[in-house]
Amino acid sequence: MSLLTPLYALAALGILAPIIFHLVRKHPKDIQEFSSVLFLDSNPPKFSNRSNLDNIWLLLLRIAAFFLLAFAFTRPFWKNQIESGDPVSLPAERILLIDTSASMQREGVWEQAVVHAKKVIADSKPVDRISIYSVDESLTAVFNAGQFKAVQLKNGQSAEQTSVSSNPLALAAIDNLKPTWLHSDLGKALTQATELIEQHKSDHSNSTGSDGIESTPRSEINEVILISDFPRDGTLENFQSGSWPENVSLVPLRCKPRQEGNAYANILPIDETSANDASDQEVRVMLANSQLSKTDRLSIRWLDADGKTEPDTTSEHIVPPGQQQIVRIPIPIPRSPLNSKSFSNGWILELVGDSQPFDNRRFYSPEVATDIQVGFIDRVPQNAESSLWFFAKRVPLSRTFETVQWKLFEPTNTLDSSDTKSIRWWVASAAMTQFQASTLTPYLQAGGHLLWVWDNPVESVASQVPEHHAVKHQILQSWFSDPINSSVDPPKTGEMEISEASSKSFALLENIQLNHPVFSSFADPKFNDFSKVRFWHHRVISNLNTSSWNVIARFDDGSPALVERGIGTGKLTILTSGWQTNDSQLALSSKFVPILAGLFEQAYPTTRPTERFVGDTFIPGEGEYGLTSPSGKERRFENNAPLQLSEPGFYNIDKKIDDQGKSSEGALNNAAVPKQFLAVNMAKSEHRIDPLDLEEFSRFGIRLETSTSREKDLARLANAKRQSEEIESKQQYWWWIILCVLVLTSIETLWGIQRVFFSNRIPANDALA
Amino acid sequence: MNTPSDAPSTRSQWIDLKTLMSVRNLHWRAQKVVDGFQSGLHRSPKHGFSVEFSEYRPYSTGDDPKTIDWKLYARSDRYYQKRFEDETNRRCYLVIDQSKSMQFHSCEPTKLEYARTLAATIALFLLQQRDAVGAVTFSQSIHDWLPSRFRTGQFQRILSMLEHPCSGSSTDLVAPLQQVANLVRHRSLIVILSDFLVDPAPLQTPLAFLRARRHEVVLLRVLDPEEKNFQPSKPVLIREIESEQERFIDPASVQATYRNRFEAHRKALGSILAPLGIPLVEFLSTDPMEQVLGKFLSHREHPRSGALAP
Repeated sequence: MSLLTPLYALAALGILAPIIFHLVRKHPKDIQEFSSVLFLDSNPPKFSNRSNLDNIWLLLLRIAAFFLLAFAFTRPFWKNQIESGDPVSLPAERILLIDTSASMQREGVWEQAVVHAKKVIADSKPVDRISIYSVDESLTAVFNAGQFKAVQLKNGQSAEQTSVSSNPLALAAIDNLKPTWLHSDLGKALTQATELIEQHKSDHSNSTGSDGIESTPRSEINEVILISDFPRDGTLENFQSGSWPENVSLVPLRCKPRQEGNAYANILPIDETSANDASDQEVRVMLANSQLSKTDRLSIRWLDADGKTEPDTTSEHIVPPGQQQIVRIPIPIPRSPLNSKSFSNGWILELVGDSQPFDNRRFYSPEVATDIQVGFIDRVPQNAESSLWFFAKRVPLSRTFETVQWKLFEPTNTLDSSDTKSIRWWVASAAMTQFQASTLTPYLQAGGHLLWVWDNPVESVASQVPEHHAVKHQILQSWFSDPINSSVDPPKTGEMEISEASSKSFALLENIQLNHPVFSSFADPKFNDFSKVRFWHHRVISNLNTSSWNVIARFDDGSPALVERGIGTGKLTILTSGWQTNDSQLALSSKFVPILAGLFEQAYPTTRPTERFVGDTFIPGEGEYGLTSPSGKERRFENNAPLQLSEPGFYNIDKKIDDQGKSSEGALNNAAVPKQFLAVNMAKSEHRIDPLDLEEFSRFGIRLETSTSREKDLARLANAKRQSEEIESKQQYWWWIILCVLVLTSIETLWGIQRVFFSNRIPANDALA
Repeated sequence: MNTPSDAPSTRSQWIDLKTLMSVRNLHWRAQKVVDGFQSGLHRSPKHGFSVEFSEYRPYSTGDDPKTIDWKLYARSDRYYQKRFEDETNRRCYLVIDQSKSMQFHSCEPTKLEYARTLAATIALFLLQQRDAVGAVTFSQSIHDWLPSRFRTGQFQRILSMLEHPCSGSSTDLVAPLQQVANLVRHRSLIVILSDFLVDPAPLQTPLAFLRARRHEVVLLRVLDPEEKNFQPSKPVLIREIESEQERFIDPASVQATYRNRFEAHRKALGSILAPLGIPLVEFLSTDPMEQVLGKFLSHREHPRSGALAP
């Protein structure tokens, strides 16, 4: 027996009414007016609490009528099918993801996130388990069910005895959580959440039945709640590779800012190809206004590193919502030359007029120009056109922030370790001595690159041929253990042999690996015509072991023209002909500069970012460094310790140079300047914060729920109530009960009439008597 | 002369009281009652009544100069006052109680309505006899006062005054009667219509005062049938109309007490009136008006007959 509306049972208290009425003597109901009470005495009724109820059967009849009436209103029914198990009482495993990216610092957003999170915790049942993670570039555990369980076991409580909502750990974790300056990567976070779910599932299957400590029933994670502002540029596309579990639903809880829209100013990096003289005095700034923005009048101004406004730098611009505008604005003070090492300063570009102030400051520090040295081992040329050095030093290898300086070393010069450390790329002619080669060995093994050009033809130094090739053999022998033929011993079968090409005509390049970085710039058929580059003389390498050597290009006689091989972490590249005019037309062709630049790019790639963002890792280099963060915290780093850039602003990095003025060998990573002034900004994606359409999640196969599981439980309860109503509407016992009430009421009425009739007759009889 | 009490067989000839009371026009109602009554009561009430000369008296200082007979002065050169017989007509004042208790009724009409009709009937009757009639209404004090006159329109004025809505609350006979005694200087017939449901003892003084002023006083007591025969059928809360005092009564025990006290009150009232020679005519509001008028006239012809019970 179940009751559809049990609260109506309270109406059964109405049975007290007839009991009270039966206990109290009736007052005269009629009031009769009379001309005078001169002849009347007051004869008040006698009130008395009679313990014995009068007319007990009539009273019982009335009580039964009241009780049945209340019972009918409770709508009783018999449940034919009792549901096995209450789905509401099953424990729920939830993952709560809270976005802590920089866009959550908008006004009113983080407060909403905290409210959402606390509501989720408060709505959880005592048996639920909830794990909390913060979301920015990746997931970070804030509070997990294992921690919760450990606390429970430590306190000697079972899971049923504790409530998540009252757990101070979860709420304290929420209170301690603060938004960061990192950018959000929702796709990556969801991928990691998927991994967590899979791991939980495997742990669950392994621990079921085997874990003696596990006293509470655990279920699989069935809900992921994501609290975020859901920016449109939240890199949701990174989830494309992930597959969302089928039985897990994602509940997005959006935090809305008090004011929509955002405008931002972004300093565009200086493009090397378009750099000109004016690049030193001005920067290009992109002003962007979001579609939801309510203003179109924006102004930008320069502040110094301390936040003081630079005079006469404010400029106003009109950027309609949803549009972008690129403006050129001068830098407050003249920028130092690119090759200056002493200059280090920064400015702040501030945007005024935007309703969201969290991203209105852009930190800007001009790049410090550095010098790159390229070592060249060659004889001092007597005839310029017959020298490699003459053409090589004219190749413009300098970049925007790296100035290449060629340094010539005579074959008679000895190379020391300082030379090999400061020089980024080595080019050697055939004049390189074995001693020099041995000096370069640690450089190569530490990752250095060497271009060895066999430039001198055999005919010109016929008397020195054996010795000359013997030097090559010896150098190669010292670097590699492969069998290389010596000029003293007759060549053995399978040994590499170097000889002069015997062709009387010129040779051309063929079999060029156009996908190799050196030749990648010629990949387009328009540029890969090498038929005009003629080689009058070249050396032939026979029996080259192609498994260890990579032949990038060959001559048309089949002999290798450009080969490379790794030494340690470095690389040796051999060009079997010279580019000077005696040997070839390479230096005179348009292919020469790209080839040499490609080789230099291999040796010293342009890896230095022109702009640094929060979340990047910066490796200052060897040695001990002192770091001052934008917030003023000072720390020390040693020996290539990575520096995590965690907040926007200016980082001051001071290098402690040892007394000897040198650092350890082989340090070829980032530029090791004595003092660096880093401008760190927020990621650009955090500026584009217009709300994302939540249907995008469905596009990636994520099952989206608009309500949390608690709300679903309530919906389930409502469904159960509806089923009960259907059952009750079929049975409708209350009709029969109402019928009984009517019968009882009729009996009571007739009984009452009879009593009144008799009570009226008795005085009449008395009067007659 | 036939009186209503002497001729019960002629009641059927009278006008039906309920029909009469249903007619709202008070003048017409009174006219019908008097005409129907007078048909066998007087032969000619309009004959044998005139002002006659009495005497001459020498004028003295202080007398009213308008009484000087100037024709005699012309003849005798003396100032004489011409004295006439004083008013031979009777002066009558109808004093009507308009307290709330007069509005009680267990059946139609109310005691007040009955008293008003009876007063109008008596006024018309007396005016037709060329008597001067005045009227007084009171409850706690005198509400309206109309001096006794015999002139054209006096009856209309009386009716107009009687038709004023009842505004009285409680009954106080002492103060109004004293006021009447002060106001009425000439010897008059004072007819008091009330239910007299008050303590009778205080009435002795004002009534004795009236008698001392040589007024002829007649009390007409009108009662509702329920007041005389109080028979409640069930326990009931009785609320007095005037003071709103409440009494819970038990029908079994209250009836005998009521009857005894009512009789005692009647006797007390009679014992006060008898030494003063004031008759009390008691009747019910359901009694035929001609019968009551007959009793009243019967008493006028036999003033020492005492109280007349209905």
